[in-house]
Amino acid sequence: MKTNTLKRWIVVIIIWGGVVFLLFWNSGIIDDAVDAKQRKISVEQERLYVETHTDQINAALQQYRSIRQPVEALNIGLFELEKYLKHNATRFDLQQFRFDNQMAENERVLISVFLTGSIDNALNWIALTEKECPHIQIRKISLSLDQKREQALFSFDLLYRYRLATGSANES
Amino acid sequence: MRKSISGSTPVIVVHDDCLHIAVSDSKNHMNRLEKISLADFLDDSGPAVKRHLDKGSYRKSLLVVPTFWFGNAAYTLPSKKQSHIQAYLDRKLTSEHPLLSEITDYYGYYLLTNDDQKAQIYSYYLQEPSAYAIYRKAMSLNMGIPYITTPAYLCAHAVHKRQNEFSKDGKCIIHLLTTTCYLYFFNNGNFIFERNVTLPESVVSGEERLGVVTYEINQSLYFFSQETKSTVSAFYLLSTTGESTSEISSQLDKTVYDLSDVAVNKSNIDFEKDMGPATAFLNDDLTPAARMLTILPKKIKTELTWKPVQLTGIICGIFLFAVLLAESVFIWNQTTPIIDAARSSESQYKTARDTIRDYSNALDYLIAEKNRYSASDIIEKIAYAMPDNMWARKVSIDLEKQTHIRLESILIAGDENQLQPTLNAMIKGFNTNFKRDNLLSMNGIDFKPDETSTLKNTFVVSFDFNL
Repeated sequence: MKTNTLKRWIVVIIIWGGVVFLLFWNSGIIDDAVDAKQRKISVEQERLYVETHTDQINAALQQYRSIRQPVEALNIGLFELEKYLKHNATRFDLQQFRFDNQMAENERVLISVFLTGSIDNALNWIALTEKECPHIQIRKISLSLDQKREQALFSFDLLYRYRLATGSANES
Repeated sequence: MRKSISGSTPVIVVHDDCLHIAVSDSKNHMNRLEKISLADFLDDSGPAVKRHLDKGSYRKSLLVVPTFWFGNAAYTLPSKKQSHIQAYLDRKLTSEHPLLSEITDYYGYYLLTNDDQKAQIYSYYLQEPSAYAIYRKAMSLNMGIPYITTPAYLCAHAVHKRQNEFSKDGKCIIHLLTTTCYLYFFNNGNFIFERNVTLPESVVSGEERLGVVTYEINQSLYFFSQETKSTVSAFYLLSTTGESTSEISSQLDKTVYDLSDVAVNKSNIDFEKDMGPATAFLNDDLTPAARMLTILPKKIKTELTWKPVQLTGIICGIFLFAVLLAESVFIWNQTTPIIDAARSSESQYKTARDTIRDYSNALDYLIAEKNRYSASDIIEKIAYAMPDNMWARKVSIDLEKQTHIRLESILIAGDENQLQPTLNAMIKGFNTNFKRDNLLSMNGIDFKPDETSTLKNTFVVSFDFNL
C-alpha cells in the first residue's frame, strides 16, 4: 500500500514536472518568436533608413574620414605637415618657426609649434590652418607680447590625427 | 480459476480460532470459499491460502472479528480539534495498554453530541494482538482493504437503519442464533458491552431457550445500570430461530421490537455454528459501504484519504500535459518560419547595422568637433574686447577639454579715476563679444600696479574664465 502510494506520488511529480516544463518551454518559444519578429522589423527599418539616407550617411562618413589624414608612413606625414606649416608661416611673415613632435599613440601625435610675429599674421596663420587642416586640432595656444607690442611669441599644442594607408601599426 | 463478483462482498470471519473466507451474494446467500485455522493462516510456512477471487473483487472487504476483540472508552477533552484528539488518544491508549504496541494504529473515534463546550469522545480500538497479525497477513495476500468490524457493530447498524429511536437511551439487541445468543448493550447508540449465552443442547423448547436468555438479560441489566447509570428502555430481537417477541416481552416485562423479518438472514443457518453471528446478516448490511462502525489502520486511512487527491492530480496533470504538448507542437510549427526568416534577414542585412553604427560614431565625433571653439575666433574676440588703453601681454587658451582662457593685460590709465571705467569697459566688451552676461565681473579680476613700467598709473590686470 505504501509502495502504491509512493508510486502514485512519483507519477504525480513526473506528470506535473512535465507540465511545468512544457509551460516554460512554450513560453520560451513564444518569447523567441516575438524577439525574432522584433529583430526582423528592426533590421528592415535599419535597411530602409540606410537606403533613404545614403547621401547624408556617406557625407558624414566622408567628413569623418577626412579628420584623419591618410599617410603611407607617419614620418612622411609629419614631414609634409611641417613643410606645410612652415610654408604658411613664411607666407604670413612669421619667424623663428620651430616644429616638435612627441610619441605617437592610437594614430595621433602631439605636436608643438613655436613662432613669432604679429598677432594679425598669426591669426591668419591659425585661421588658414583651421580651415585647410581638419586633421589638425589646436589644443592650446600661448602668446606673450613684447614690450613694444609689435611682436608676439606664439606657442601651439597641436594634435595631428592620421591613419596609415596600409592599416598597419604606427610609430613616431 | 478465480471468480469475479459484483454486488457481493468478500467477508473474512474470525470465529472460534478459525478464519473463514466467504462471499455474500445479492441473494443473501453466503458462499464459504475457505476455512483455515488461525494458526495456519498466520504461519508463513503453513498451508498456502488460496486466492479464490481476483484482485478487483477484493477491493473492499469486511473482516469480522469477535466483539470482545474490540474495546471502547469515553474521554473528555477541552479541544475538539482533530489533531488534538488524535494526539490525546495516542497517548491515552498507549498508557492504558502498554503491551499493545500497535494499538495506536487500530482505533477510531467520534464526537458524542453534548451541550458542553468540551469534547466528549467515544473511542473504539482493537485490543487483540492477533488481530493486527491477521490484518497484515490479509493485506500481504492482496485481499484488498479489509474494514474491521464486529457482530455488535453490524447489529447496531442493522437496527439503527430500521429504527430511528435506537440512538437514544439504553438499548439491548438480542441476537438469537441456533446455539448461541448474543446480547449487545448500547447507551445513546454507543456500544457498552456484550454477553454471550451458549444455549445448551439439552434445551429443546423455545420457552426453555428464552428462559436462559432472559435470565442472562436480567443479570446484565444490573451491570448495565451500574456502568451507565441508566436503564434499558427497549430491546430488539434479531432471531434466526423464529421466537416471537411476545414471549420475550412477557418474560422481561419490557418492549421488544422484532426485526428478524427485515434484518436477519436465515439462508446461512448451515454455516452459523462454524462462522458465528456474521452469517445472520443481510448482504446489504455486510458491505463496508453500509457505513457501520469499522476500524481501518491509521496509515491505510491516510493513504486512502490521499488516493483521490493523487488520482485527481494525475488526471488533471495528464490532461494539462496533453493540452500543453499540443500547444507546443502548434507553436513550434508557427514560430519556426518566423525565427528562420529573422535569422536570414539579420545575416543578409548585417552591413546596414554596421553602417548605422559607423554613421552614429561619425556624427558624435563631428558634433563634438563643431562644438569646439575656434582658436582664431577667440583671439579676435579678445582683441576687440580690449579697450584702447589696454593690451594683452600674455594670453593662454586651453581648448583641450573645457575652453579655458587666462589673460594678463597691461592697463594704462591717464589718472586713477580712469581705472574703474576702463575695467568696466573691458568687462562689458568681453561679455558682449563672447555673448555671455556673466562671463566676467569685477570680483574675478586681479590688478596691481605694474612695477616694471616707467609710466604712471600702469596696472597689470589678470583674470581667467571658462567658455
